[in-house]
Amino acid sequence: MSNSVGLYTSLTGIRAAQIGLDTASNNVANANTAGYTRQRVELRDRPPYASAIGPLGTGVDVVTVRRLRDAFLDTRLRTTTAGAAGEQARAELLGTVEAITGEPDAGISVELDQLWDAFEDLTLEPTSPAVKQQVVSALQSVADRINGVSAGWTALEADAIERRAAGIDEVNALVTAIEDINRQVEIPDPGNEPVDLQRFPLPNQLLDERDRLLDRLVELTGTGVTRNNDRTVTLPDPLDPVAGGELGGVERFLTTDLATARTQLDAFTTELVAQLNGAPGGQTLLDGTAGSLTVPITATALLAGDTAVGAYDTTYAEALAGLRNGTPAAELRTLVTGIGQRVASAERSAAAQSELVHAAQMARRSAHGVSIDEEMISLVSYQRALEAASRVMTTIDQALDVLVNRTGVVGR
Amino acid sequence: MRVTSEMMAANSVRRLSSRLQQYERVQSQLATGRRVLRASDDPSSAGRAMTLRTQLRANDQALRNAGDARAWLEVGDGKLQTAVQRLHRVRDLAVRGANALGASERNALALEVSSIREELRSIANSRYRGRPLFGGTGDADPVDPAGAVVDDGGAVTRRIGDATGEVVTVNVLASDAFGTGADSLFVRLDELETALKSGDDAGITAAIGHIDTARERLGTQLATVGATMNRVESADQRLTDIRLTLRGELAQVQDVDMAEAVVELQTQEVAYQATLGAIGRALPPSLVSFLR
Repeated sequence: MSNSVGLYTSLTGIRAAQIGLDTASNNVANANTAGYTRQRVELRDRPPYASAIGPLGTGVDVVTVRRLRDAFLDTRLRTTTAGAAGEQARAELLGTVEAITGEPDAGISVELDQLWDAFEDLTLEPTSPAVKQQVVSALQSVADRINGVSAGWTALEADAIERRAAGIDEVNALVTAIEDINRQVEIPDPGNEPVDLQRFPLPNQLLDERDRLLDRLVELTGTGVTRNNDRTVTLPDPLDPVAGGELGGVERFLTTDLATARTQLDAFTTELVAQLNGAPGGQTLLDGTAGSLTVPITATALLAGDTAVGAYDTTYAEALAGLRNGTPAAELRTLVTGIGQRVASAERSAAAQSELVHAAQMARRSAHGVSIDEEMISLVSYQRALEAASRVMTTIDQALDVLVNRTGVVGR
Repeated sequence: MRVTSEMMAANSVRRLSSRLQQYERVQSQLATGRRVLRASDDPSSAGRAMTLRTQLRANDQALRNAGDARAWLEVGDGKLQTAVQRLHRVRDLAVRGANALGASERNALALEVSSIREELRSIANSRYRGRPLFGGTGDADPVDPAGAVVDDGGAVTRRIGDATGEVVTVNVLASDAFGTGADSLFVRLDELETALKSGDDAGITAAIGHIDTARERLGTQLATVGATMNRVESADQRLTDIRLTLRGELAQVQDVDMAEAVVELQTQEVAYQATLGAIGRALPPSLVSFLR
């Protein structure tokens, strides 16, 4: 009786060692798989049987193969990634806004400087058609440049809106996939006792997949995730995709940053048009708003001064040239440095967040990642265990053999 | 802390990328010569740079204005000097005419006075760049054939200082240079001509007095032109100095120190090599190679 129990005991040892080898080989194979959590065999000694001399052990049970996942590290990484993704998206978009203005080398300020110079040249040659044409061309350049910036920002806005829409589509697909996995791994009525892992074995691969999906979802939306004890996760309902994360950053850019920049550009344009048209002489030099500015005056209609005073009077041109130091230039400076500051602060914020993400990522990889050296040691120990258990089985077999085949053959 | 090979690889990638970023930054600074390429590199410096650039443009324009002013003044100066010389000749003629001479000699003198009067009239009506030099801001000749002097009183000004300051007047008005109404130079020359022809000694003497007055008047205008020329030349010098200062300040604000940047580039290159070397050793052999 005890011998066959011994056989069975060594069989459990062999089986456990085989599962251990399988797990170690699975870990090694998935050492570079993104989002893979290392797995460990959980062993437990089997309940003893009551023998004549007391309880005797009956071998080892494989309870389960468990993923060594730390939910706290997951949450920490997801939160920091969401923040970083949002800041990164915002910084990128703001950088494009700044690039579109073209300051300081190819922007509105360059055209404005040329306009003031053209007005002053007009004071030198008040009746020259060439100089008047120069003034009108300079006005046209200013109008074109302002319209160009406005159009560029409109195109950027359309791109950002498209990006947000694509992101929302991805979010919907992710939520559907997560709910799908929830259905597959759900345990009905878990109650408060520990789960019976024989009835409901751990679906490690599905859980890893769901964690990958959750990582991406939180990166996009910054949403919170609630874990339930029936192995499902609950997401907020309704899920607001633009409350945080990368999509939140895009949304913030669209509603706050771009809107502010546009308002400032409009204010600058209105001021410029008012100052130019309101100068002595009352000539309408620029018409419209940012994005649709036109130059209604022609070179022949342009007057440098009041012809009633004299054919070569230059009062209008002098007043216009004096606008060089006026409010439009100051407002443009405010616009450009304002955008610059916002871009710089968003970039700094993104860099700081990125450091946090890296630290959280390292912590998570440290806890979840596969270490080849550890797996090698596991392999070696399970290999030895397998050899030893097989040896035990052989020994017991030989002992039984003696008992079965060579006992009681006296006289045969 | 437990370290896996995946972590070491990830860290290596990150460090390499960060090194390359710094290297790239220094390279682009050297290539463009600028420390501040976009406003976000240094917003306050960018704002200061914009102000300086505007000031530089205004300064350059002022230099152009000063050149234009100098041209105006030189032309005016030349014409007035010629006028003074011709008046001197007229005075000589008048003095000779005062010494009792025969009718035919006095007629000859009167003829010369008349022709000098026409010369002076054409000087007064001379044009500069298509507009009357002494006519203010109007388009009409200031002196008509009868000798009436009319200009529109307009001043031609040039800005030779910073954008709000220093404006000089570069033209001379015909009314200031040649007198108006009954005291106009041309009326006085007419009177001299008549006095010479008729042998009116008292008239000739009176005319000489008026010619002296006219010469003084021209002299005053010449002095004004000269003083303005001096102002323009000193402004020219000052503007050139200011240009140098502004350019230097702009360079300080937005340009990169070349020597410093080259040294920085070398440092980054060495650091990059070191990082590459360290990463080359980052993935040590694992236990696999040692197990039989």
